[in-house]
Amino acid sequence: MEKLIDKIIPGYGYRVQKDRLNSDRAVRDKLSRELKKSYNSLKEISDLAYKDGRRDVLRHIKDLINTIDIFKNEIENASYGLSPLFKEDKVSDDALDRMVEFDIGLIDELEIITTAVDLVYDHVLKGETSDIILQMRKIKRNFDNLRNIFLDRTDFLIKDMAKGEGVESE
Amino acid sequence: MNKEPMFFRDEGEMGDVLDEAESLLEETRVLEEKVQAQIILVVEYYRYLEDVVSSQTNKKMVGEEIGGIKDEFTEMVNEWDEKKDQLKKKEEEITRQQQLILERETKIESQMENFEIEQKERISKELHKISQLSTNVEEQLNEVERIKNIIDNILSEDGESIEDKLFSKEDIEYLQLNYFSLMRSRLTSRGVVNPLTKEEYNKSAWEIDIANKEINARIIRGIIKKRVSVGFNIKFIVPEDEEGFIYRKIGKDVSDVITGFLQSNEDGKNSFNALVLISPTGWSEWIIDKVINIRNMNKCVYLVDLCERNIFFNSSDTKTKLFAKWFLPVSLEEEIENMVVNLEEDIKNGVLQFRVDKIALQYKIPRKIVISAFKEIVNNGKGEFILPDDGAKDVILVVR
Repeated sequence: MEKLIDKIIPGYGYRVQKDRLNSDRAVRDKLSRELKKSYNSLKEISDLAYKDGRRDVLRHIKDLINTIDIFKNEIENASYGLSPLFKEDKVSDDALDRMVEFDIGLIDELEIITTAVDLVYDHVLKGETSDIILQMRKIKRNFDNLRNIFLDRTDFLIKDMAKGEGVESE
Repeated sequence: MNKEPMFFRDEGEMGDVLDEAESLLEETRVLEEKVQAQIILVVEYYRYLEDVVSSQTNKKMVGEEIGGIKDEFTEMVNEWDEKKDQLKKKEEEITRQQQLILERETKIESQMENFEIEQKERISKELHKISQLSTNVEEQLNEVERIKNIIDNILSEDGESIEDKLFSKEDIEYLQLNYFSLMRSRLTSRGVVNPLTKEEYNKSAWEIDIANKEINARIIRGIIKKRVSVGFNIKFIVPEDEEGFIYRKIGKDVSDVITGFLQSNEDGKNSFNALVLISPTGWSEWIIDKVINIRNMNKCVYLVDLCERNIFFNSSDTKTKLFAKWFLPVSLEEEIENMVVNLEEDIKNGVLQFRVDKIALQYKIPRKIVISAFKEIVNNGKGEFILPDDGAKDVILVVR
């Protein structure tokens, strides 16, 4: 699994202290970039819906776009460089494994969402739009799941690590 | 007027885009793995091709080099063969030289062995000579020891005993003369009876031969074939002179004489013979024991001891006992008494001085008999001694 992440995010890894901040930054950049692509695709779909006068669909799409936009801003502006993960040299293997699990969950979910958005765009272009609202709702649910994983990861970095759960005593 | 939608035409459903997305991602992942595997295979094949090409190139290069190496190798092999031949020749030469050395060693060893054998033989002869010399020296030492023992024995005894047992040659001669004279007088004065045939012979029948130290008295019968009826063989035996002393008793020296006498049977079973051996010094216990146990049908053996004036024979044999009185010596007392009678006769004839050596020579008797007679006269108060310590040449008896 780490190989897969290494392929998606070059230089990824938390074993060495100096690599940890860059790895976190790389994961967030990846999330931000991919979400930006999905945001753009959904924006084009909303434009098309607008042109075709499908205001019912437009409202669902814009709701998803707004959510993505807010989440993207949370990712890009999140600042938890004061987490013990980045300050302490000796961090437990369990904490490091937990971080990797968070990142794998984020990337997997992100790939599904971005691929699903691309498929929706393709179906729209084909005129197969009878269940688009249902699909938007499903994507919105996966997107919420993605955001929850990210928030859990944030909580782990800021709160759990600060409690000393992942730091090895001298 | 209703405008026709360009895209949202609702011509179909999208399906579950999330499931489809998951499937696509899974397929993509599998494809990527396959591609990765293919890439690995291609890389490996490429490497294999590189190896093959490299190998073929090397082979070609090696092929070109092999030709040169073969020539060099052939050249080296030829050189090695030459060196091998040279070494083989050297080895043969060394083997030949070793063989020569071995032959010479064998020859030298053989010569050494012969030399050793000669040396051993020579040493053996020398050792034998030394052994003989040693034996001779040992014998001489034994002889010296024996004489030393005799002298020691003599010296250990008291003076009188020595005087009694020591005889001079003159004493021995006088003893023999006196005994032979006694035997002659007895033979010429007595007849004899053959104890075997009971034939009687008068005193004139004796044929007496007196030799140096032997008397043969025989009575011979028969005209055509003469035979001895009674024969006395009287032998005077003198022990070997021990460095000027006649002292030793006689023993085994005469065993051969006795055996020869007993075994001879020249004159038949009716001939009676007696062997009489006289010793001036006495007889050893061993020979006395032998003689007193001799038992023979027609032969008797007697041992006469002139020192102790005694005779030994088998007293349990009647005929031996019967003839013993013929050979009994005169006793010492009787002889001294005879000497005293002779001296007193000379005194009556006017002789007043007697010297021992002259009297012994005159009457041919041993000195100790003369001295004993002188003592008898002195003890009777008829004379006295003048000893050599008083300036006399010998012991002198002066008549009062």
